[in-house]
Formats: sequence, structure tokens, C-alpha cells
Amino acid sequence: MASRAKTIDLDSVLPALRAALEREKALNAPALTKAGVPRAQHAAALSRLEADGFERTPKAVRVPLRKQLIKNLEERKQIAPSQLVKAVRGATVKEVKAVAAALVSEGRAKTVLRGKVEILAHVSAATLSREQLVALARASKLLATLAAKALRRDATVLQDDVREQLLEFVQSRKAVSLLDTAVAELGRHVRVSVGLSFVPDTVRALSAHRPSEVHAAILEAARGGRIELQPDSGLDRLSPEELDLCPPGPRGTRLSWARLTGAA
Amino acid sequence: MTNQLAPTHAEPWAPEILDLDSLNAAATNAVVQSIEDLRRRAQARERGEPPLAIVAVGPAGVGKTHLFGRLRRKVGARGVFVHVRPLIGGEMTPRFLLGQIVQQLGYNSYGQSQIDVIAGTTLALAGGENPRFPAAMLQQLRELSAEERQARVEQAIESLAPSAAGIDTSYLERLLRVPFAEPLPRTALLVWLSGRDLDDAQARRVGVRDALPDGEVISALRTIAAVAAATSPLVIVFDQLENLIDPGGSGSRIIAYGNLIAELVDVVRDLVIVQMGLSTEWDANIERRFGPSQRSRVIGRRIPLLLPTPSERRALVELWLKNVASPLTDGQLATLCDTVGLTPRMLLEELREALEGNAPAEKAAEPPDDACLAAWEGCLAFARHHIDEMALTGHGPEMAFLLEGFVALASLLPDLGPIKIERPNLLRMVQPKGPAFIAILNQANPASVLAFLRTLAGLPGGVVALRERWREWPPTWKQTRAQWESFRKAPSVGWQWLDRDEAVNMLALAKLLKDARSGDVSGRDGKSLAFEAVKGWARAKLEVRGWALTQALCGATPKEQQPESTVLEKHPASAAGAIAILRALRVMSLERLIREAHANRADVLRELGSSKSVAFIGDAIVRWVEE
Repeated sequence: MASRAKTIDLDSVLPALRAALEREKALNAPALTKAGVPRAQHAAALSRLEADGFERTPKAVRVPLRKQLIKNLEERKQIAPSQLVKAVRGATVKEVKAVAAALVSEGRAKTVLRGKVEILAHVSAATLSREQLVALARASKLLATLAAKALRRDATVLQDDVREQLLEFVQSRKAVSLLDTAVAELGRHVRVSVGLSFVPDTVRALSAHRPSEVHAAILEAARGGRIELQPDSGLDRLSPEELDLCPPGPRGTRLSWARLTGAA
Repeated sequence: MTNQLAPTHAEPWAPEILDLDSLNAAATNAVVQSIEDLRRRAQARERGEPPLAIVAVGPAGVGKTHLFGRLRRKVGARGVFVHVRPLIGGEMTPRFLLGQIVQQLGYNSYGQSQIDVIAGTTLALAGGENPRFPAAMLQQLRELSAEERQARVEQAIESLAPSAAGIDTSYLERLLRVPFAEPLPRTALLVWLSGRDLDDAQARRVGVRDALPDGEVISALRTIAAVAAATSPLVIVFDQLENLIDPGGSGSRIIAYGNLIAELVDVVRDLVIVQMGLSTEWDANIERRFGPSQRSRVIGRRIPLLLPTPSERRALVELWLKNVASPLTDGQLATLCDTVGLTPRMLLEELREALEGNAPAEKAAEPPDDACLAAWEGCLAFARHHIDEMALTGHGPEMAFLLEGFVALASLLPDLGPIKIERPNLLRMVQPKGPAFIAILNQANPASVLAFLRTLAGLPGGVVALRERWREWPPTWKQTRAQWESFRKAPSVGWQWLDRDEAVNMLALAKLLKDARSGDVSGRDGKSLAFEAVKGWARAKLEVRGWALTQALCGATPKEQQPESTVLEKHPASAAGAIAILRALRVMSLERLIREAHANRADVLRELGSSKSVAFIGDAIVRWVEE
């Protein structure tokens, strides 16, 4: 007598499958069997998981590829091409490349050239704009010509002339270093009473720079996760001068407090 | 559709909350760890140092009040929770705190009354049974005879008394009796345990002559904390601490608060204290007012309250929009989640607006009136609920709340001048133009009323005296009534019956100003409205000058216009009159209604049954509901 294949109540295993998926990012047929889903019910289980928002592939189900890649970028900031497919689970190289290209075209990620390798970078990465790249190419060409001439004539060039040509990029470096300085300064101005740094203290301490430059650096540090900026919500106790020293926050607020997250 | 986004997470006693565990997980874990440590130490009967009081500050809208709801959900029956907001008119006294604690012990938290949790777990532990199932324990004890049950209660007291120094055994005995008491004795027990005045019937039910004396209030607090510690430690969360600040004042309320916390830490000991407020206010105005000894008690441990990270914002959006199609494109969502400095409240407002289809330009142009009006309506609902809740115990509104209503009212009327609280039910006008004092005759028994009337007779200057209209003098208080009649007719006395709607307005006004100080009144742009803007709105739109109480405080109510008759005199004593009496008094016991109507029970019940506006709470309490 032929025995009927055993069936299970899928509702009883679905919570465990969802948890496993969130943990493992993808589940294939053997994983489903191991989780107690009979082979005959694989298709039904996959459909249920698909309805929950997971992505179904011919042989497996996975956390949506796009979501996996975005999360990885947020955590790692840069992903080399050799690491792209390893950064996600349950996808082919072709699929990952297509999603990466889509993120770049939507402005959610950047393609960055490092040496000979093209990497995928988080949108917050400090990079040169297209205009800056054109300027850099032009300056490099001029400097290369100048250096070649100097070598041929057994002469040299002034550092200031080189600096002038690269001024735009030197300024860019200065902005990066201001960011570090601002974060260090915030660290020096932590108020023990609240465990937070009062932003106007830091802006005053960096008075050699324009407040707008310091604000830009502080906001950049917040976007990069090095600090957390909090809106002020006192009883209108900040003076007009203090308000001006706070970077603008969402919905007309001023960001008056910063917390160092400890991230480098 | 936007109802799904209603801000229930800002309501400390919301039955359910939408919660993202990773948000402020460190702060949550710190409090939970403190609760666990206290329980472990109490079970091991170690003396040790009291738990460190926790300070948690952050910006408005970061989720401070939500944290209270989160802790209740996470800890469940393994802790009992009390949420206290400072008074804007006066200092928080141990008696006020005891009242708040016992009132909230009567609240349900995730399906169980907190006082049942304390009693059930304590009795289980004392009887060598599993304290994790307090409801089952109580059910088991309810099935015993009264004598057997009393023996179990006494056994529990005997086992607890030696290990918990400073507890009051008679207070403990009554605390443990609450879950087994019938409705009326239960109410009486809760009134006595909360340190409030009792009426004669309540005193008889409890077996006492007077309210808890002042000298025993701290022992009562110690008793609750010590008993709860071994099973469900008491967690008191002080929220909106910026309301302690008295702009231009001496800082006496902050110092009094520091003393209260020091007493809780040093004497009450076995409890977890969490203090929450706005960063700027804590830094600029609160912490620096404490002296070294207060500082060492108040600031035991600091825990930061954090804004959500971009990925947490994304998760919050998914959580809030679980059953609603997202109104945001992927790009809009990404931009929103990456915005620096966005609090959960701002995020919620962004979503609400997106769901309603408001353009950014509309946001900016909108006046704050709607936000103030919405906040005012929320405050009115809170006040009505509080008055109804207190009426069930035979009391008027919490006196401290009513007094701060007067202080709030005076702050809107500069020509009235400031009002100072002289005694728990007596206010003094600092620059009187009319009467010099405001007296509230809220006492629950005739002896206390008579004593207070004697005090008032000796006051210099005029006095505006009032009592809740829904708590008129019972006919049996003949001497009190006669004394009151002669007091009322004195030339220096202005008498007011406080109508329920007026009381509601006063309580709501105090709450509105408190919320505004804490940045909890926000416009449609999600930004907190300035305190002065809310105050200006209240002054302009609430027409406080026209309130009967304002008129009385200004001495503008002529003697001949002051009410003479009481509601009971206005309505004829009959079964038909019962409806009119109930309509005027709103909530009362059936026994009192029968007594006031001078009719038999069957006739009164028949009359009540014929009205759709009458609702029963259990068998003993009857309530008027608006049609």
C-alpha cells in the first residue's frame, strides 16, 4: 500500500523560517528540509515567504538583494568588486552587478576608481565631483608638462606654483581635516551633566574658521556616523548668538548637542 | 488612515505600543538590569547599597515617555511602574508621591493590576510557591475561607518583617488585603493606602479613624518598595523634569525635588528611580541647583537617550506603516532616513503629512492654533478621565493638580499677580486685588471640614472658598452644613461651587502648560511650539477672563450672585429626582443616590434603567454618560 507523504502546518514553521532568513539572508531547498518542511511543501513555503516580502529565486528564497546590498554598504562604506558577490547571499554575480548599477544610477551609491580597481562606495563617501575631476586632469597635465620641462633644463619648480595648481584639492583636504578637528573639539567640550557636547562651544573654539565651514564639517561627521547631532528643545534659552552657532536641523530646528559615537 | 499613526507611544499607560527594540536599547537594558539587580539582592536578603538613581536626558520627541511604555512591556509583571510628572505650582511631597504610587498600582499593566501583582507575588513567595504566577496565586487564595486567607496574609507579614527593616506591618496587612476585598472595601483600602482623606464609611470599612498621618507616609513608601523588591521591584519614572524650573524663582522646587529623591534613596531604598528631562534644561537649570549631598543621590548613573540611526528610522517607518501603503518613494524614504537630527516624533509627523498629502509649503504656512487646540483637547480628555477616576473613590480631583491649575491660571493673567501654595488646600494671592486667599474644601469627612472652616475664619483678608459641586454636603452632615452656611454668609467670603467643567479646565490648563514646557506641544512641522506661544494661545483663545473662577479671584462676583442653594436642594427628593441628581454629580455610589433621592432602591433602579445616559460600574457605582 502506497503511503501518503507527511504534511505539516506551514504556519507553525513560518516564524522560524522568517527568523532564519533574516539571519542567513537566503535559504535553499536543503535548508527548508532541515527546517522541517517536507519536499512536497517547499513550493508552498516559498510562496508564503515571497508574500512576506522576501525574494524568490528558481532554487531558493532570499532577503531582497537590493536591501542586502544597501545594508552592506551602510556598514562597510566600500565594497570591492571581488567582494560584491560575497557581500550578499543567494545571488549570482550578474544579479549583484545589476543591482549595484541600479543603485549607482539612482544616486544611492557611487562607483569609485581606486588604483586599477572600480569599487562600489556608499553615497556619503567623500569623492570629487565631475567638475573637480576635469580640473584635476587639467592641473595634472599642466604640472606634468612643467615637471618634464624642468627636468630637461636641469631646473626645478616652486612648491607654491604646484600648490596653486592643486589649490582646489588642497582646500578639499583642508575640509577633511577640519572634520577631524571638529570631532576632536566636540570631544573636548563634552558636558558631564548630560554626557553631550554643546555645539556652540566647539564652533567658538574653532573661530579661525567660518561657522558655516565648521557646520559643514560637523554635519559631515554626523552623516558619517562619527557623531549624533540632536535638536535643541530647551525653553527658548539659547541666545541668538548661540542659535547662529548651531547648524540648522530638520524642520527649522537647530542642532545644539552632539554625542560622540566612538566610530572612527 | 492616519489614525494608525496616532501618537499612543506618548501616552504612558497606553495598553499597547508600537515598539522597535533596538531603539534606545542601552537605556532600556540599563533600567532592566537595575531592576534585576534589586530583585536578586532582595531575594538573597542582602542589605547592600540602594540602586543608583538613573538620569536620562534627551531632546523633545526622542521617546522619553515611550521608554516608560517600553519598560512596562519588556518587564511585564516582574516590575511595577509609576509615572510621575512634577507639579508646576508646588513642591512634590512624599504624600503626593504616595498618592500617585497607590493610584497607579491600581492600574492594569499588560493584563494585570499592579497591586494584584505585588500582593500575589509576595504571598506566593512567603508561602514557598512560584511567584511568577501572581494571578493564579490570588485565585487559589480567593478559594480559601476568609480565616484561612487571613492566616496566609499574616504568615507573609511574619516572614517579611524580620528581613525588611522599617516596614509598617499594619500598612502591609491592608496592602495585601486589597485583591480580596469587595469593591467598596477595596476602594476604601486604596484611599487609605494612598494617604488621602477618608469619609466615615470608608474609615469604618478600613478599620481606622483617620487618614495616614504625615509621620507614617515615608514608612508606607518604604513598605511598598521593600515588599515589591523581592518579586516585582517598584520603578518610579519622573518625567518632564523641566517643569521643576521656576523661571526667575529661587529654585526651591528643584531643591525640594532633590530632597525627595535623597529621602527615597536613603530611606525607602529598595526601588529603581528613573529621571527624564530635556538636555538643555537639565544642563542649564536643574543639575547645577543641587547641593553636593543631593547630587550624590539624584545623579547615580547617567544614560544617554539616542536618536534613531538611519537603519532604525527605516525600521520605524516599516513598523508604523505595517498595514498602510507607503506614501513615500524609495528616494524620499532614503532622504528622510538620512536626515541629520531627526527625532522619532519628527519622523512620525513627516509620515503623517505624507499620508495626508500635505506639501511642504502648507506646513510652513500653518498657524500653531490647530496644534494648540489639538493639545488642549488631549489635556481636557486627561482631566475628565482623572476626575472620573477620582470620583469613583469619593474624592475630587487630586488637590495638587487643582492647585497647579490655579497657578497656571494666574500665570495667564498678569494683573492677578502670582499665587503661592500655603498649605495642601490653601493658596495665597501675593498681590491681592480681591480676596487674599483661595481655599478648597475638598475634605472627605465632616470633622476635617469643620476644622478647616475654623482655620479659614482666622485668616486675614478675604477668601474665595470652593468645593466640588459633585461632592456636595451629604444631608447627614448637619453640623457641617450649618457651620458652612454661616461661613458662606460672612462678608469677607466669596463662595463658589466648583463645576465639573471648570475643574476640568483648570486641570487641563496646568497640563497644557506643563506639556508646552517639555516641548511636547508640537506644530504640524513636528517642531515643538515655544512655551510662550502656547501660553499666548491659551490666553487669547481659552477666554480665561470669562471663567467663573477668574471672576471670583478678581473679586468680581457680587455676593448676591454667589450660589446659595446646592444641587440636592434644587432637585426634588424622589425616584425621578435621582436622574437629575446623578446628572449633576456625574458619578456616585448607588447607595448614596438612593439616600439623596429619599426613594426606595427598586424605584431608583427602575428610574435609572429607563435612561440611556446611565451606566453602571460594577454593581455599586453609577455614572452619567453624555448622550
